[in-house]
Amino acid sequence: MEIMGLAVIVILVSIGLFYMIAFTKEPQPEPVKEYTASELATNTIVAMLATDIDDCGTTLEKVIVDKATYQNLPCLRSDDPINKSISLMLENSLQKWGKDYKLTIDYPDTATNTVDIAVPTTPLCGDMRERETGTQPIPLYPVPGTVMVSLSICT
Amino acid sequence: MKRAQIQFGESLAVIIILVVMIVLGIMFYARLQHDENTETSRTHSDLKAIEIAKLASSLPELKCTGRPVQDKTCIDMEKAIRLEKWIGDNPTNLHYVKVFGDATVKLYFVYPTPIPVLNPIEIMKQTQNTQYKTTVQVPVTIHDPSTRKSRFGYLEVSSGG
Repeated sequence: MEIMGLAVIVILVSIGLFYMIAFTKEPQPEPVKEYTASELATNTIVAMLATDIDDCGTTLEKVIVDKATYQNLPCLRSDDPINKSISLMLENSLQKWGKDYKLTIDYPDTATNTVDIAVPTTPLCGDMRERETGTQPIPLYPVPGTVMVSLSICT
Repeated sequence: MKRAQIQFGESLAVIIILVVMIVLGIMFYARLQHDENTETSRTHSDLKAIEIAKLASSLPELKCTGRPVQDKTCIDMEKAIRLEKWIGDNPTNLHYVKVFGDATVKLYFVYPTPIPVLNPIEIMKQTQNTQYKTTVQVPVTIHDPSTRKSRFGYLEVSSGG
């Protein structure tokens, strides 16, 4: 009967070892997650800023600069092309892909006007380590100062 | 019961337990191996999709010409339309099969209002059905040289492992 007891102990130890191997397996890196984290935010901002805004006939970058300085563009007088275009772009890309994001535009003190970003941003992940932020500086030349456009995406 | 019979019974029990242990071991090993294979396939498919996405967005056949160097996310709309047609007419062209592998590469228009007949431009179409599929999107500016306007869109690469 002793041998039976020994066998039971061996079985229990073996099962324990198997479970240990199965659960302590190191998590594999996720290439898409890493790539998304490193490139998506920056690529999105760069592409958005270079896009021509329908009503203004110029790029989003130039509309942001004009809004903060001289406001020469007629489209800025009647409508809110900045919020309208950013909403459309983000809703049909990041939001569609299930990414949580937050977009901010920081104006320098020298800016004569600012835009409150009313883009419906999704609830952002709490942990900073899970966020990837892309930032693009836009100089207001010849007016001193730089506008900072930032987009944070949860990875 | 005779002593010999008891000993035989014990030996039989030990053999049965050993067999059960070996079977359990094989089952666990097979499960681990299967998980590892799945993981490898997924990682391979992910890496392939990323590689193709990076390559497609920087391909001279698609990139905008005469734009600033930093404008690396710009795709020429005319070039994309021509390339879609060209690859469609020459599906066995080995160069693009080598470049894109067996992946689907589509160019979507997002802003302003997408052009229905062009949305999406299917540059390359996957021919085989694969078990694991990874999709990667790269936001780009789509420049139309005829109107000199730039649109917002994205390149979508779906690749199987």
